[in-house]
Amino acid sequence: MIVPMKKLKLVALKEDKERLLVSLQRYGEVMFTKCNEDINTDIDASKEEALLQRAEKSLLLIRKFKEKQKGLRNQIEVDYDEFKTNNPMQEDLLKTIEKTDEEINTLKQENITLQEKLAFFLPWASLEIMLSDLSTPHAAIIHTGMLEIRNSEAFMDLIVKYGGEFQIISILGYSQAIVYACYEDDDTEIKEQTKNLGFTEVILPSEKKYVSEIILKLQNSITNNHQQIETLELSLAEYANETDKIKLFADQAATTIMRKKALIQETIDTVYLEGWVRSDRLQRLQKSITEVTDIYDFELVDPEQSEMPPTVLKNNKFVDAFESVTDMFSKPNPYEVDPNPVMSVWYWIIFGMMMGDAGYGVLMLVVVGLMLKKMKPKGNMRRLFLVIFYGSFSTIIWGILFGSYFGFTFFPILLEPINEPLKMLLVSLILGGCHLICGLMVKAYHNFRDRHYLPILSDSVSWILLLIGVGLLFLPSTAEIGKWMAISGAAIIVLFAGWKQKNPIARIGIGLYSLYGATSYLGDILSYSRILALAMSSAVLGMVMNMLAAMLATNIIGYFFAAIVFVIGHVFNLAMGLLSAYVHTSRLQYIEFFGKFYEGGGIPFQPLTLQLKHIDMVNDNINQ
Amino acid sequence: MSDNYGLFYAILGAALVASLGGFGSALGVQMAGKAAAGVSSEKPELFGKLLILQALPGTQGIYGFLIAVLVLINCGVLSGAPDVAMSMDTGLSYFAACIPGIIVLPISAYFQAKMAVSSINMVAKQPDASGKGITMTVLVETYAVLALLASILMVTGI
Repeated sequence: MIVPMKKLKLVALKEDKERLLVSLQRYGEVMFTKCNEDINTDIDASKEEALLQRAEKSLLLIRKFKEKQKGLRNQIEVDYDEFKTNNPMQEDLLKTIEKTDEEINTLKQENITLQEKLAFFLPWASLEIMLSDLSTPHAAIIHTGMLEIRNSEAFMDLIVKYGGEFQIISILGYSQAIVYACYEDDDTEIKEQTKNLGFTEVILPSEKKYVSEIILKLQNSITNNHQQIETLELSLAEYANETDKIKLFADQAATTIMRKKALIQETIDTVYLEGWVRSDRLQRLQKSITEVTDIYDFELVDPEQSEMPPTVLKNNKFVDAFESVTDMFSKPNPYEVDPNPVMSVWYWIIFGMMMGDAGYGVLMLVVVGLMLKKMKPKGNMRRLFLVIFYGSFSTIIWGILFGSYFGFTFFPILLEPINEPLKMLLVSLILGGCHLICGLMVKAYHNFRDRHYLPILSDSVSWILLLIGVGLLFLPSTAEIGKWMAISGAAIIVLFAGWKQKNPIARIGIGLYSLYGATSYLGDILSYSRILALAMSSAVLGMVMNMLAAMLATNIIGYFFAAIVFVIGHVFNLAMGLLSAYVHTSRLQYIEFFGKFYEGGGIPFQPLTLQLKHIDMVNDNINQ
Repeated sequence: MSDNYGLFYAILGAALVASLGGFGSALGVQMAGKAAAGVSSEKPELFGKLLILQALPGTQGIYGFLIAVLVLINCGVLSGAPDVAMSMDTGLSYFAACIPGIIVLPISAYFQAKMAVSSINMVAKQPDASGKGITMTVLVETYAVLALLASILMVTGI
């Protein structure tokens, strides 16, 4: 059912503002609304936002160092007292992590520069003189540079012609490192000509060292840096053990941001706020205020017609799981009947019928049951798992009715979809008719609740009569009753569907047009044939897998492969079947069923509350 | 081997419907998959929702296979005793029964894939709208279901 909402209008002293907000947030009962147009919505929370960002970044940084836990993630739970206290240690922790990361980055950058330098010197590794000697003036001038190998003969001739000397130091791909010496007088001339041969001069720094020494030093510092990076990363990995603390820190920052940005109006001495609260939890609300202050005044009013309060649903465990299906379509708006209690039962029935195999049902029950227990999913994920979990019972029941067990058939009680598709089609369509009638009845209930009595007759009773009447026409014994039911239903539609019109001709006109809507009912009912299609496709695929396995199972090795085919085949079929059953059952609810009565368009209830993104639970005695 | 080609036409129908259904679905899942891969490179957290949308055009292949198996069962091929003496009339009837599947399945898979791509793009911008996207995409499949139904009714009625 939909919980009625009230609007809270609260005035308190300004000096209590912070404590009041903290308490409201702790209880999480108020969804703040904009109480005034000129309220300040542009509140500066940049300090907390920066902290939150840093915390998230640190989490990302240390995540890759976190040891892969065996099995499943453990829950993070903290007490409220721990949650509300800001631990200065945490910011220090952030700083250390950031500093370590920065150092790692600097070292990595440094290594890139060193590698470049190393690449520059490597070709000259076997140069046998000190670098400073290259430029020391002798009678000769020494040049170093790179030359393409294909020009080396011409180059040799040239140097020899001028009486110079040269040495090839190393070969690097298509070029070689060359050092040559020539007489000072010939230098400009040779320079000119070597340039034409593609000789590019490389100027080595003039140091009192051998190149090999420099290379050794560079290599040493690179290895050194690598070691340092490793040590630093190890220490980062160490911080990974503190992940929970940083997670707590991030959630605390997010919570503070939320509180700071609460829509609250201030005057000189007081604060004023408006917001939606659940009418069934007013005591908790009162407690959250009286716990921090005695000086306050509040008023609770019902929502005005023009206002759209958020939608809060309160249902039992079973129905609650199926709310996720409705929410995917649209949340119910607060003024209509909650469709979930009725929808959940139909979803359960149709889902099981589409799966239709007792073996698959048991498998779903066991696997999803274990996943729910071990993984402890949260929110909508948990609800989706629960939908499949509950659906597995329905699957088992239908599987027994169809006599289907992992694609094998034993004693079908109701019918066997593969061999009796017509009968199965009939069952599907009749079920569809009942589903639609149920939708019309929900609409009737809605109109009854709102005291609109005529539409109950014209929109619901008439169509129900028509649907049942047409259905009964097919049975010889009830054809006579069916005929009159159908006729009276059609007559009611023609006479009353246009009840809003005063003009009798216009009224009949609208009535006739409404009767034309019968074609859409035909389409709606035929749409339920997909139940047959899906039940049959999963049954046939299962049967084929068994056949394949049976073909292989001729000797011992064959049995082994048969087992593999059997397992993989059925797991594949189950997965495809689940996907199809999930989307097609949803579709039958959204288009055919909801189309009869549902409006939707509700907004979710998002109260000011603790922002738990990383932490799984905050233990607080107020919740007991 | 008898002189008429009854069994051949029945099997030809089954072969075509399984092939074309599979062809359409492979094409469709590929189209939707490309879009989904693009989106999940930016938003990996949407993977679950995208996977559902990607898989939607995959059902036509299964439907085609289903029709083919039903034809093969009825012709006795699967039970190891193929009805070699099948008359030309019966064989052609089986072929005709496969036609709704042969025509509608690949086409609906292709168009459903186009719809899936649009929905994937919608989910990329508005992750909460995935339910609406799935519903709109599933609407296209209605006609594949009806074609499947027509084929099933014909095959089992022969």
